[in-house]
Amino acid sequence: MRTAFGRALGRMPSVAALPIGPALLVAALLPATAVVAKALAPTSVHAAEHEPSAVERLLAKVPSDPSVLINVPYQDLPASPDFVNLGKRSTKALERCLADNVDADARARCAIVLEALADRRALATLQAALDDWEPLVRYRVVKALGAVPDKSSVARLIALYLRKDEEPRVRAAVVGVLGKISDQRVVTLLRAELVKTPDGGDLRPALFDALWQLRHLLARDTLIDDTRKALGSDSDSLVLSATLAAAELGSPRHVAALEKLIDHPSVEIRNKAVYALGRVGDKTATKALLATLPKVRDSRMLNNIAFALERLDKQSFYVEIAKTVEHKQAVIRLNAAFVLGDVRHAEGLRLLEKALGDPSDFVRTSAVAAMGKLALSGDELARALAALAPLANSASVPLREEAIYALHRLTPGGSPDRIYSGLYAGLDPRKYHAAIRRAALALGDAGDARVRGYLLNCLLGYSCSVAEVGPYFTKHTDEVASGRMLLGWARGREGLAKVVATLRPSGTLPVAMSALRDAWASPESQETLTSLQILANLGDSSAQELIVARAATDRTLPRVWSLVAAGRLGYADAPAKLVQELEVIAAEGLGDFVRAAATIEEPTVRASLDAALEQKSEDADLQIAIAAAAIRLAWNPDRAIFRFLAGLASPDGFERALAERYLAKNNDRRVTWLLRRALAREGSIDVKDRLRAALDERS
Amino acid sequence: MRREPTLFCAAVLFALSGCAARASGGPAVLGRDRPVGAEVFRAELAMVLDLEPEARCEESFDLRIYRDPRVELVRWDEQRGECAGRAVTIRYYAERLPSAELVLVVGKLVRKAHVAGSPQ
Repeated sequence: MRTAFGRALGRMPSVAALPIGPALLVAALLPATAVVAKALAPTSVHAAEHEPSAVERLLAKVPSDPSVLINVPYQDLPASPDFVNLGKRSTKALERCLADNVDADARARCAIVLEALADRRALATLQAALDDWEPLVRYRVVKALGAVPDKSSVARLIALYLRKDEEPRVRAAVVGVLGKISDQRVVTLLRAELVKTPDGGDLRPALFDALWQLRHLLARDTLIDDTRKALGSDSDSLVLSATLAAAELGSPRHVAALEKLIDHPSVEIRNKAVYALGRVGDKTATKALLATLPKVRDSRMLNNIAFALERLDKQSFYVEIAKTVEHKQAVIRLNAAFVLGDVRHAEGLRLLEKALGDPSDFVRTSAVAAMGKLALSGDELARALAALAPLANSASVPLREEAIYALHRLTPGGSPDRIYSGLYAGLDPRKYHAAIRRAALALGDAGDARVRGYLLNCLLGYSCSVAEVGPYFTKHTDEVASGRMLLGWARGREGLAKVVATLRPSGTLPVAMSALRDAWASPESQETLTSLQILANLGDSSAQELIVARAATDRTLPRVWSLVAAGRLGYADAPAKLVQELEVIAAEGLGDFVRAAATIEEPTVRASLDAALEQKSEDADLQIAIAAAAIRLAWNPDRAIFRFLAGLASPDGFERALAERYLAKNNDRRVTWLLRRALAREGSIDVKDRLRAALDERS
Repeated sequence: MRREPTLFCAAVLFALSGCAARASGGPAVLGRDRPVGAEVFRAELAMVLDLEPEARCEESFDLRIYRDPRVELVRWDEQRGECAGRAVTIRYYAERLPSAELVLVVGKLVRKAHVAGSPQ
């Protein structure tokens, strides 16, 4: 007999429907009883001792002996990740390797690692190595110089680019690096090269991309003119880059060139051209866009057209779309309804009401879905609800489905009961599995307890992702679900770590400590990293000793995560050690460092790091500076945003690009609001463009 | 008592410019968003707004209201993508912007606005 609780759990009778949380938890722990006992015992983790290999002995000498790599052939070199793991402690040895090792492959390898490290101390060595005899080494050296862009490299890089005997890939790499160095000599070269007829490899797309990176150094008119010329180019790659540029610049002087691209054979270029026309917002493009509508074959293009038309001429748009809604071909009527929904204006209601009477179910379904997207209020909302209500009982399941979701969206407070009875409970699971799943997810979003069991099974059965279902269980907690998620994580479903860390079901501490011990021989494994995150979130200082022991690993990533976790649990040395790590970590690892440090929630730990990070955020090494700022942005967006605004307005294009990259990685809504405030108050047109692009990326 | 004329004029001009800035409430001279010291007094006002129905109604409202430098932050509810019945909390510099004026400023940017908890 099912319990009342079990009935409430919904349509999937299962163990989840029974109140057996504690039993489950015990079951989860039973197979690992010995491990649990070990976890509860005093810390005693011992890695197996072994005789270090030749490579390990070599690696151990790298930080202290700059000459250690000079006579090591390529095949005897440690792997690149092992060098990178040492961070900037290996710079000197790598420099000597690049300068003095006679094996070209070894020199190339050392240059690759120097690129990953991005240590400015290696600049002079890298610049000298541009004269290396081997093209492969020169190519790698150029790329490494791109990681530490500096004006002192410009003359040598330009000289290399202009050599007639240089290989095309080296010249292309030089162009890419020059685009990172804000220098007028570079701008002059790039503009001159861009108008030349290509001989051999066509570098114009790379030249344009590099010039675009330096757009803050160009007069607006010059930039617009160069982009207009690129839009008319015979190179598809160049045209594509130019359409992206045109979208950001928003100049009416690009409209004619963009209109010609609406019918371009490349689907990418067509879409980007339409998008750019929308961004330009010039009414003259309306006719060309509307003429395209009947020819559209894919929904992305439709989206872009809707986006563009919304910004252009609303009045003529509705005159033209009214004709399209009555077109003799159903697929065009369907597309027109789709566009009306995407535009979202209430003016579309009248036309969509008409489309609800269409003989084609496809058109009617599209019209229903579109109606659900409209921004309506008052009488118009009442009209839409009245028109949709009868369709919620339609015999056509797709039509019924869209009508129910449209009603749910338009009804103030939603209408979950309609989704429950009309779709979730009202459809045959054997025939309508996908529709029921969608209904359950929608009900989950609405916080409906009736789908708890379904969602739990869906998640644990790999039919729903953690991203889809996790938020439901963190909002609506219960011990049964939490225990099963802990079990799932312990069995290797690492994606559940975040949910487990948030829910903290009873029993998590010994299980997570056991997992950390279990993975001791694999410090970089997901098991180790997620255990550390979970233990840090639990806030139980009894795990501190074990985590501090883990922080003694020679692998950088788990060491950083261990220090973060130990610091969160009260280990007083952690903040200073983390700052030391920031100084030596390879630039390639800075993103991971930021991700780890951003998880620190404890105000005291933040406070003990904040002054050092604020100082670091002005470091001459821009990669370190913006990484430090990114941690502060995660902790306190209101204060840290100004470092990013300064970065976006920097005279150095590389700093602008770094600021853009870290802003894009931060998904906090508060950052979005602060970016809007910055855009509203920004005076520089170039910075405005970048802020606009950053916001578009987030929407 | 004789006042020092230059100082007096400067004081009057300063006061007038302050009054004008306070009264205008309009768009600020565009430069760059700058931090405002912690010593400046902030207050918060919770409102429910019916925004102009358009594709990016929330962003559009933000871009307009933030032109007033006396508004520090608009915090939105979770109803992303919706334009009607949006709950917001507006943090503002209370010594520069009286709450009654803030209500007027907001009212000009939306279809309908009322202070949360007050009769509609």
